[in-house]
Amino acid sequence: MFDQQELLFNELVKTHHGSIYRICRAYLYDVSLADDLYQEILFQIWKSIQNFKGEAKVGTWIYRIAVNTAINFNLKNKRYQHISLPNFIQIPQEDTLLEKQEQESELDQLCYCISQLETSDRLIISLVLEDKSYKDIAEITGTNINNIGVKISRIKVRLLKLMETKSRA
Amino acid sequence: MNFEDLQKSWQNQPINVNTDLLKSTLQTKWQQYQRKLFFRIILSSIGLFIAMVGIGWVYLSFHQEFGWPFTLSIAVMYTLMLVYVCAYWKSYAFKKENLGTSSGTYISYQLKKLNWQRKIITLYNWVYLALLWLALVLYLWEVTRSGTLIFRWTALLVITAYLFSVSLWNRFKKQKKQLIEIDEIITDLQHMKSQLID
Repeated sequence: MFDQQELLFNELVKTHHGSIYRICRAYLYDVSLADDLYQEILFQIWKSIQNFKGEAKVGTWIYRIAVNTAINFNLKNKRYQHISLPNFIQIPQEDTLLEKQEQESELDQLCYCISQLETSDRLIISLVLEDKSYKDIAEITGTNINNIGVKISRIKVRLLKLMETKSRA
Repeated sequence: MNFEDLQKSWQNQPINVNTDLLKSTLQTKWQQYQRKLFFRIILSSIGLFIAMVGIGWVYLSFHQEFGWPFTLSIAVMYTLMLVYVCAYWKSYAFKKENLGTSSGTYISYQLKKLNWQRKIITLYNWVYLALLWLALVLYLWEVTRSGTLIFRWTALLVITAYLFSVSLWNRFKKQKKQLIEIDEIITDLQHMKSQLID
């Protein structure tokens, strides 16, 4: 039984580890905190695996655990919530400045801009970025399927606007 | 810049975590979690059992020497333990949360759990305190009946003042902070829920 659980767990992690990690990155701007959240999600999957009855698709179930753990993680650690820092604080230290500037890419900007969104929007956009369908997103978050399209369009517009502002800055 | 480009860049980001290493630490974390849970249940059950047996022994040994306030104080103590067990059990049941549900359902569950925690602080702590006070006062009144009237009243006043000051300090120092934290989380969750669901 334990071995079966371990096998299933290993398979799930192998298939979904990238998506889980990206959800963490979308939810938490700080990489080290995102790593902690990633570990917590794996732990929660391991804890919940024996209760998985196959009522939802495995993928949906995994995403639900990831998203709910992220919500809980933020509540337990309110200090982890990303508050937009003034630009001068975000400038890296001098010795890593050049390297950091070189590495500065669309992805860094994207992470930062996602962190500027509202918590619920961050969760939804992390699923949109994973190419999840409206139906899946509605099932994972519990949002009304009739509203999800409008909501996603609004978040996309806001994100693109933030990206443009950040590029210009 | 369009959204599809962002999506592509997002999905191609490097994954910088060592999942295999994490999996090995997970095993230790799981064992620690189970051990902690086991000891918590065992220790609280043993503690409760010892208290029940102890109080029962006091009653059986001395009830013939004292009057009805003594019997009532023992009954109140058992009621107190029953209230404690019920509150503890409900709090424990709330810990068994199902993370595999939709976020809307999960948030509703968290809100229910937080409201329960709030109720423990604002209501059940006072019920517990009132019962404890009643049990101690009745008990003291009986066991000090051979003393002078001044001695009996002083004993009652001391125990009342002690319980009253400890609970006030608890309520307005420690629990005030807890209540503020709970209320903040409730507000955040309600906001998130309305953003997700509406």
